[in-house]
Amino acid sequence: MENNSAKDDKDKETGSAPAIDEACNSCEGSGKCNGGFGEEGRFTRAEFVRTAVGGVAVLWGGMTLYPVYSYLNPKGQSDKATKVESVEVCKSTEMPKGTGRNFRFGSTPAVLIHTADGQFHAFKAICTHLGCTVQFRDDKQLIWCACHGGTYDPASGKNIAGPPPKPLTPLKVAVVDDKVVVSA
Amino acid sequence: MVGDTQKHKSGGLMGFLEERLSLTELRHLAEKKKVPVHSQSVWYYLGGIAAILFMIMVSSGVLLMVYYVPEIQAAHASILKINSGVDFGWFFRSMHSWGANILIMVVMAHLFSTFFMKAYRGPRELTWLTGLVLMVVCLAFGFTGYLLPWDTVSFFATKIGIEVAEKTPLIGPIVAHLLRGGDAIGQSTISRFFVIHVALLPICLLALGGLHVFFVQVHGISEPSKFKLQDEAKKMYEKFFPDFFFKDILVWILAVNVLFVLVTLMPWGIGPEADPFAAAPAGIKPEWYFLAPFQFLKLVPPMVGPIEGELFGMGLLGLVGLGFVLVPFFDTGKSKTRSMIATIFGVAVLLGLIGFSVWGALS
Amino acid sequence: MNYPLWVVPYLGGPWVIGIVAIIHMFISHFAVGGGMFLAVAEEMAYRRKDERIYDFLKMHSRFFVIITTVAGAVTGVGIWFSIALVSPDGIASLIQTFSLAWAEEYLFFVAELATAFAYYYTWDKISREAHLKLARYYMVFSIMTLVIINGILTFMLTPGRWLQTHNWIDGVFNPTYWPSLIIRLLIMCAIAGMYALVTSSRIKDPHFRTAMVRYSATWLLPVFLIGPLVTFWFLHQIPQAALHNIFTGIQTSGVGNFSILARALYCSLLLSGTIILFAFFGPYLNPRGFSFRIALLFMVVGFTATGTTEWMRELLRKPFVVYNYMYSNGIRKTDIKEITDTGFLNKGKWAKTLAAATNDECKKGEVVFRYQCMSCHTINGYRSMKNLLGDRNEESLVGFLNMLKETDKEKNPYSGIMPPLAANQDEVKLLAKYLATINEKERQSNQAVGDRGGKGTM
Repeated sequence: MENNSAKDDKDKETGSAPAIDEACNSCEGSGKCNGGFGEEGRFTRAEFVRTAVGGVAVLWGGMTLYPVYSYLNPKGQSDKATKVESVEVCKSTEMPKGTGRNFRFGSTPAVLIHTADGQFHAFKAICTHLGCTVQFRDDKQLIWCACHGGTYDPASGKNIAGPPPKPLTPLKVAVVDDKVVVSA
Repeated sequence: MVGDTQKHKSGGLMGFLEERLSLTELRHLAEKKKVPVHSQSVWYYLGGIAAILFMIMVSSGVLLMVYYVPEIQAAHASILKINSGVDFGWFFRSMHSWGANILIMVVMAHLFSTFFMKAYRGPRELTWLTGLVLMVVCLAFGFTGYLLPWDTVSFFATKIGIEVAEKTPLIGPIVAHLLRGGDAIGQSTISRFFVIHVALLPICLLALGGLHVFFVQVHGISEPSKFKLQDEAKKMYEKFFPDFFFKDILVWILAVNVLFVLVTLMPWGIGPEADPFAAAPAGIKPEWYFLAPFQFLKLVPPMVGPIEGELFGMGLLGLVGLGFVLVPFFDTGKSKTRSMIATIFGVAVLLGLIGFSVWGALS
Repeated sequence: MNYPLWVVPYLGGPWVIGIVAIIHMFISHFAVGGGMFLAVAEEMAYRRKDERIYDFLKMHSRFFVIITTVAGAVTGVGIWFSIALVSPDGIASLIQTFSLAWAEEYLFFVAELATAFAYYYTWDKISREAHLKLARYYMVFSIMTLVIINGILTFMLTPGRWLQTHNWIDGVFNPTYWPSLIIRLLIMCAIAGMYALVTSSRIKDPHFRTAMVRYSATWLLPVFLIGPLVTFWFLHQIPQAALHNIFTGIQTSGVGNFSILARALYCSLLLSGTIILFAFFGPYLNPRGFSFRIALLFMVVGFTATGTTEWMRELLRKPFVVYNYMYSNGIRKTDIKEITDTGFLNKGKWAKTLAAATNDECKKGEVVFRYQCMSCHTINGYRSMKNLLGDRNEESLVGFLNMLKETDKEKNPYSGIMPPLAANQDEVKLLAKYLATINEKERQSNQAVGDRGGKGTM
């Protein structure tokens, strides 16, 4: 190995920089070479470069993950497409007075009742207590929730007994050409 | 300590982990692993490429599962939606389709390169056998996945594939019935193929692949006999970590690059939706990796002596498969003649595969 | 229409330009970047008084001089030949607009070549100081060649104020001039680094090799750090219609980010990202293991990355050869209306003569096809008419062609990536008659087996 100190003195005299791989000469074959750029004086610049590289690397990484995020992020329009405005439930002759049936109003469960006075009433069948699906009880002639026994009036949807704090949400009903049509 | 001279800001973190996870032990073990350096060393990269491609298949597959619907009325439409309605859906789908084809090619190359370098010899017989099963698993992945888009070609290719397999004596009809979930390909088939493709086969692959890689670690990387017979001093090795490993990464980057170019410039399309009641289109063919046996079976005359032609053909194919299974026990390295027979067998099979595939593609 | 046509089957004339130009781009970037590398590295050798760096640079510069002067010049002239044959109207307008710039460019080419030869052949024959000066002169001259050609190249995409003033200086210093100049300089540094990696990997002394490999790898840092920013700046300056075009695509061949432009963009982004990863895991983390073979592979990857990026950049300009001024088929935007009203086959020295030379309606239609469509389509090769026509018959083709005359995007989904068809009603019929002969067989035969694994139409 060269006598580095003598060379350094000479370098300092002429003002030229030390050999490019000087640090490498002292690695003794261990391979832990850093290419001779970790010398004093260059330390801060190397640090800056490393931080910059790390930061920009994160940005590049983000750029590659963006497509995955975009792929998984569902576009909103599909919800609009399935937003239901009205549903034809059944023929008016299929439901005798004093009966009720559950049906789907888009993605919401709903209940249709043919009361004794000949009127049709419909409500969203989501119990206002804890969200269970309510049903019409022929024997009680009332809307009833199986979970905790909440009871609603079949004509007005009002909560008349049990834990439910509020009435059921009503839906509009019309009989068109013998067909019962429920709309929002 | 080894990590000290590194300039990582996470020096503290590394130290924390080192104390608790005996990373130093692992690092010493890893540093002991070495890779032989010789004229055929380049083939050593193939296993790693297969591994990285498999990881890409799993990740793209999982992403596809978010939108794919395995229901007979919805399957085809869900793929159409992925291709055009979901941001970058076409990208992940083509990564999956192209990736599958490239993976099968790489696994075949890996199989033949290890065969010709005679890496199946003791003590590596188990590595070889697990590898053969992995090849079958890969082809099963291809076969089951192919049906899922439910377009005309995939429907009929599957139909024909199962019908051919049905001819296997004894078990054929039962297996076919189980795979199809009945006598005809329909919803049951889609559901079964889907489960096999996304749950059963991945578990098999993880288990077998894990064993396969574990065996390689235990036995070290196989050295060709010419290399082994040299003087110890002449043998050149390089350290697996970091030297070969970083080169491995470069090769993976290149392989993934090839995949990216194919995916962006030649994205995978989809044919019209399958109609089980329609007639099979003329000239229907399986995917390229099944062309060789398909074409071979077409060649066999209807009757060979007393045996039905297709049965005979499948018997022959079975014998070839058996040859591959038994080769480590036949060619143990002790006999030069046996070694040559094994090589000739391999060359014959390889030429047959290529020849029949090309023939099948052109006809 | 004023010049004869060169028909290139299957590949198409434009791809001849493309292949020659992509090779030339790589070599010219290699030359300019390499010039910067030589000047900077030689200064380093001079200051450190390191003979080994001098020896390395001598070995490095030999192949460098040969490739840049020979292949660079041949492919550069190759571009002239190919563009003159394929797009004569386009190049004619560029020559006329920028005569002085072209003259200066050639001056700098001569200076660049002279200094390159002098640099290599005076090695060890002149003083170290003088040799370093030569390196610096080479660097300056080669950068000047970029400075000028960059103006003309970016003019094609963003002519800027030239459209009003027709002043060539306005043409040179157009909206995308500066971002393009900067990003090209960055890419040049990267390519210089890649080539230096190839030559460094062949140094025999392992310590010196590691040091030089590491040093060469640092030349890839600038494009990594600043590249994305400048790219955003560039994309901001291009016509918004072009940017919109990327994601518009065509319904039948892919919309949204499935359109071919978007996919080309992603391809180029992915490959650029690959270069970064390759540089990180290769020469940076494992300089000792960076062999000659790997270095060569790296250059190949670099070549594919620059190639796809250049292709992407060219695609942005659709359907123009000079944006908003002249379409790819050489017809000026301002002439479209007149030609549509008064006919195409009675204009242009060659179009007129070729059309008049035949009474066959199909052949007349072929003249229209060759002059208006062949700048982007081939008959049965690249972007094949045979595929695209499907099984349309003559009548439906007339309807289709009439649609292609519309400039309203609602009426004509192709407006924006195809030039409007400039033909009167008779010529539309002639063209339809000719096109019907191309897909005759397809219409007659039954539908083929469903196209599986369909390759996206390009």
